[in-house]
Amino acid sequence: MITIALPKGRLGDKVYELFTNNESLLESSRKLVFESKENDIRFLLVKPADVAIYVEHGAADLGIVGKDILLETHPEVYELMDLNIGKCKMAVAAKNDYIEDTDRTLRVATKFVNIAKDYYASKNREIEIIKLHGSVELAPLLGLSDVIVDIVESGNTLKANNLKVLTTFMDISARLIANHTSFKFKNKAIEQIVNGLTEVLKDDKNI
Amino acid sequence: MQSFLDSLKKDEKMILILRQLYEQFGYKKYNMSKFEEYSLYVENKNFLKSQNIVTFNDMNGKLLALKPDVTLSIAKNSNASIDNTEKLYYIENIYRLSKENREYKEINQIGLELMGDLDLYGVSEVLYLAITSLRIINPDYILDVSHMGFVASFLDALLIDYEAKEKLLDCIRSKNMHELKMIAQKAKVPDFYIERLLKMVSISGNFADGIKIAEEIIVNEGMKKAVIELQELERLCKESNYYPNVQLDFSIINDIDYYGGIIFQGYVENIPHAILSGGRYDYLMEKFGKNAGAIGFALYLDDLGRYDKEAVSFDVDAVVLYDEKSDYKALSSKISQMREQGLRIRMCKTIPSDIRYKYIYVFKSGELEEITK
Repeated sequence: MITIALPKGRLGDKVYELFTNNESLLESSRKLVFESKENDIRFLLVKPADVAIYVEHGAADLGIVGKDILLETHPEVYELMDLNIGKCKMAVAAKNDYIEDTDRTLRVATKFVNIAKDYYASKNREIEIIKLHGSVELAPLLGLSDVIVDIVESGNTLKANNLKVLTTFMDISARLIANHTSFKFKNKAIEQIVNGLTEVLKDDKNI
Repeated sequence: MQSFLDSLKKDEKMILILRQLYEQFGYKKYNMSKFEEYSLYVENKNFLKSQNIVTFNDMNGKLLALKPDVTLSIAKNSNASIDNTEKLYYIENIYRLSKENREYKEINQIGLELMGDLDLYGVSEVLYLAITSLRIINPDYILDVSHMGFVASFLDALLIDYEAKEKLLDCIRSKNMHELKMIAQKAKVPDFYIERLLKMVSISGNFADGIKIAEEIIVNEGMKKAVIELQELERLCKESNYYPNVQLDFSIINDIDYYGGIIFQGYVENIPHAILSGGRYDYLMEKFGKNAGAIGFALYLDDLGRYDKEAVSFDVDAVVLYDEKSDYKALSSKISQMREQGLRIRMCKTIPSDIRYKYIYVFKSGELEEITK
């Protein structure tokens, strides 16, 4: 039996469909564990940011997780596949009329503290991080920060809030990760899943 | 005695069994101070997995540290040379920063080091001890073997800058082939090498099959030398019956400046990360100005207790109830008879609520009478 941690939400639903031939997750169901007897797979539905934790600690053998979370937390797991779904970009955004004052410390609001730090360190720019847990777009509007570092998919949320993308610096997509011990002791089963996913993704033209 | 030994926790039991094993192979116990001069870790910070170290001043103002690692101290203080081989083992606590809660953690380690004139026999002896230690802990174990010289020589051949090299190492460590390809292409590594890099990362499992693939991707002398060493080791392993549990996997990466030869990591089922890690650290000995080869490993004991399924089920074997009217002389002679048999007996006046026991007796008119729970 292989246990796979899926992120709750759109990405998790999509991956579940891939595994189960388009059988969709019941939105209304409050169950957090699903079993697929014929594939001998158990799915856990967890918060996206927790997927890597479940896998690193061996509570799940495999997990589907965004690259943003892997870069933010650096879990000790194997990254076996780029699923090329849930694609988006890590971006710096600010108010439409924003012009950077390079003489001051830049105030950056973000959920991704480590990613933002690494990015500005590579630019040698001094910053002050303001860690937020959501609605990051509000920060520049209220003068809480100069810019935000966040994930941008279509850019609609930014537009609706009179913000613009200054630069994008990282491609994000969903990755298949594996626990170290599971990869060794359940190698055959995991290999099968990787091959299966590769096949399905090849056929799936909608992605 | 046996009853007491059985009642020990898994990590406590393992210390006893492993000590016996290492002593039987002629390893000498090495006891060291809890503290070490901080400068040792500043000079060798890349040897450590984490750079966070607990420091404090001694009475003379010298900066000391709680040991985050044992091997560095042993290597520094060792008298080993080509003419004087040392075999040591240790049981020590080390202090490292826990990644999850950003707090310092005390970790109990047992390990051994072989330093001196290191030959193939020495290497295989340490490997055998690593394997036997794992097997004692859990018969479902895997020892991953890699060769630092192979990976390092390969990366040298790519002629790329330090930053790209670090990124590639990260990808190799996490078996991340998709990004490895992207980064290599960005660094303008020729396809000829990229293909081989991907092949190297894909190796996992059977030792002999892995070596065959490794042989196909050799591009320089360093890699060739490493493969020959791996082949010799494989041949030695093949003759033993633990062969299927030894696998080749180049995703184990230790610091290139310290490790130059065979490195390995051990896993057992149900523990989600490696519990044993070791390797050949000749370059570290060289840094300390010692003319000697060295190899060793350490086992993390804390994890054994945490993931132990067969946890202790009884705190004592029997509870004996007595009251003030009991004949103490008769009672104590009965009890000492039982203790001599190795049983753990708790005497009380009332049934204790916080301990687990197998039997319960009442002492009545000079006899012990069992009562059912």
